[in-house]
Amino acid sequence: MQQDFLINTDYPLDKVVFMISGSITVSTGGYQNISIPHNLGFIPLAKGNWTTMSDWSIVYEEHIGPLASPNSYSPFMYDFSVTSDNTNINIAITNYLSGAPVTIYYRVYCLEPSTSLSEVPATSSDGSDFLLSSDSNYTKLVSAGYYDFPDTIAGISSYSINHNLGIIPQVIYWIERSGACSQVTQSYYVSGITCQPTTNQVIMTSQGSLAGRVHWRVYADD
Amino acid sequence: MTKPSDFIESSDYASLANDDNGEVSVTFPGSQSIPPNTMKVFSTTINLGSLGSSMRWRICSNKDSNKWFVGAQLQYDRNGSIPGTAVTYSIIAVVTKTSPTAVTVLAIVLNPYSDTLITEAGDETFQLHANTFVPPFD
Repeated sequence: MQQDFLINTDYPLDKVVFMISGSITVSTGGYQNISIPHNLGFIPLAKGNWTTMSDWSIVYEEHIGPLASPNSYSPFMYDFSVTSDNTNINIAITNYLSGAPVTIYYRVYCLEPSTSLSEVPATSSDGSDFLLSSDSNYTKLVSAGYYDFPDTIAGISSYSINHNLGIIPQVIYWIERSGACSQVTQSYYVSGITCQPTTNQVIMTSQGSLAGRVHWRVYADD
Repeated sequence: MTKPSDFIESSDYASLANDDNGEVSVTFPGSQSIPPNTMKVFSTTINLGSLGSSMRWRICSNKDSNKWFVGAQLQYDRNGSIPGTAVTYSIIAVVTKTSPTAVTVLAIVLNPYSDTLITEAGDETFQLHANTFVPPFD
């Protein structure tokens, strides 16, 4: 099976084209929005992680984080999101419910969309000492592409990607609208764009949603 | 400089490595009574991932034919009641890290009404499949 191989030359490895990290303090009940130039010349597919711990021992994804106390209006104390455009990586942080200022540590890495024709500077010196290590099983990209969904405010539209892997694969996807792109981490079955992976297809569905371009990446790993 | 997607592997670019994977489920029992303007939460935690790892996820519900959806949150509208009136409410499954090596999945119903909400009959079970990764910053 393809996912049993640490590296498989049938499938490209993910290649990170931009990386940034830092920290920012957000006041009680406050909001912060920072923009960081990426100089890539295209809209990258950004993925953000964050934490309240300087040692990064617990890593949170976008729109999830430490739990709030029961009966709060949000399940989480903070909100963290990343949007990319042709110029910047834009990070937005809200300190909903913690009752105190908070320092948020963030990391953002970007992948190249399938629409890019650009050459990109190296990023390997920014990361691990070893680019490839036989201790690790690397993510193997099966399919990457995009689809332009029409406006579905009054309807529904679906698009299927055949992978025929025989397993339910890992999938990540982003929505690009009006020059801004963000990863989708939340599914609401009656509106928005959802992604349903099966053992032979990935089904994208738009319902009750504005027109938008979906960028996807399907991996041979389950 | 090179065009990244021209190469199967390239030592010019950082990459991501798989770390761990696992599945866990949480059940929101049917016909729950939720006081006004409060939420009811059920959760399950599993040990998953190593220190500093990030995640990808998919979630399904037994009340939607166990169709997997990619994401850390999955929300449905359900039919319940407050005294004398049928109403709709939302049930949300969410995933988060609760320690360096633990992942928690929660099923949450918030009662936005000013009277006691009785949720839909029949237990709803959400199943989470999560993968963790060694990020390119390590």
